[in-house]
Amino acid sequence: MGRVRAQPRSRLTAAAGALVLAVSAPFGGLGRVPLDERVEAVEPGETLDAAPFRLVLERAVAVDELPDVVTPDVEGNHLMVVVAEVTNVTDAWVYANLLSPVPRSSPQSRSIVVLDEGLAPIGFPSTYHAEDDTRFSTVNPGLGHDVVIVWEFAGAVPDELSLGIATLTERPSTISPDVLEWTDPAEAATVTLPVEDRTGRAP
Amino acid sequence: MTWFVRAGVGVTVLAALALGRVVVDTWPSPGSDVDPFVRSVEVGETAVLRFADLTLSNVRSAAVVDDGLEVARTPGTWLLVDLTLVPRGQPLVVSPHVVVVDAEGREYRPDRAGYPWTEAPTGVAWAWTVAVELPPDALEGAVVRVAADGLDDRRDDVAEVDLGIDADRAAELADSRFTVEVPATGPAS
Repeated sequence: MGRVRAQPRSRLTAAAGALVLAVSAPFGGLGRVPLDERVEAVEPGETLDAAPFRLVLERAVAVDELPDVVTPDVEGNHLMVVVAEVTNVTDAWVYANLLSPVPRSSPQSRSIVVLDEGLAPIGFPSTYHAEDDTRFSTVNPGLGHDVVIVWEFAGAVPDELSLGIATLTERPSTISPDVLEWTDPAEAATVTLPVEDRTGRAP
Repeated sequence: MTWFVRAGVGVTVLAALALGRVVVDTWPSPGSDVDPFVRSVEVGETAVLRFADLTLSNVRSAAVVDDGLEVARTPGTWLLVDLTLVPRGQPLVVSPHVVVVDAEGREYRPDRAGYPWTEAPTGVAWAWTVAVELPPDALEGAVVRVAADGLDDRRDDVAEVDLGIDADRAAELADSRFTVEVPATGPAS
């Protein structure tokens, strides 16, 4: 006991911490908190604020192609089409490619993450105005746009599509402090959309 | 160095930092040495810029714009401005950067139709119609800013054109139901 008391206090604190972790480890003390316990799960059609956007992710549809707009690069692959309403809630325009979904492993700063790696985009996703099929490249402030977000995926059509929504932060770029960019994605919510399978038939 | 001297150095550094903060907060700098040079003009006047002489001659609006490639609708209003640029010193290979800034400081950028660009030769008057979609409440008091480079306008000329849109004119513009054809850029007639 005397030898323990002779140790510096910092060493005793570290030892106590290690002991607590060792005891709690079998009960999940070293495990990661699951995503659905870290963030809120919103329903399809529910409004979500995730800077720089206000998003309403309404539904998902799997199709073979969007005629005259998008066709999969690889025969046999399908397109995932997410129907959404998007509003830029900031004071300045932003690039619409912030809406391009990325896989969880991506280093890119984007607002939407495809949680199922098997449904991750092949190639570059694209976003279009729903009412006229024009490409959505800039999101100006204060306007609610009905859009479709489209990407190619391989494999069977799923029953559901789980997406993570991230909040981004505007900060000076690493190249020039005078240029601001939206970066640092932080988990904001998840949403699971039922997937309507419209593959194998006329759209 | 004794602990007394060390503590004194620490206190001096903290005091200097605090003094600096007080000075900056009390006499804030009105700008920075990298601010652009803003050339303010009104519709019909020419802004003489480093890279071009720029004149904004007309302000219109539309519900739908058609640039010959795409027909684009908007949940807001298309604001169209007709510009003439005469490049100075060298051709304008890349389109200048245009934003509309509303009375609250919100910035809108041209997106879809109405933004075709072809290289403007030096000294040739080049006509360019720009279409920007914005919410109707952004029309009153809006200005157009034109810079050579959208990412970097430090210490460069920027034109700022007051569109002269009052409340009545804003209501008139917002009420447009027209489809407007946007011409490609080219020599001004």
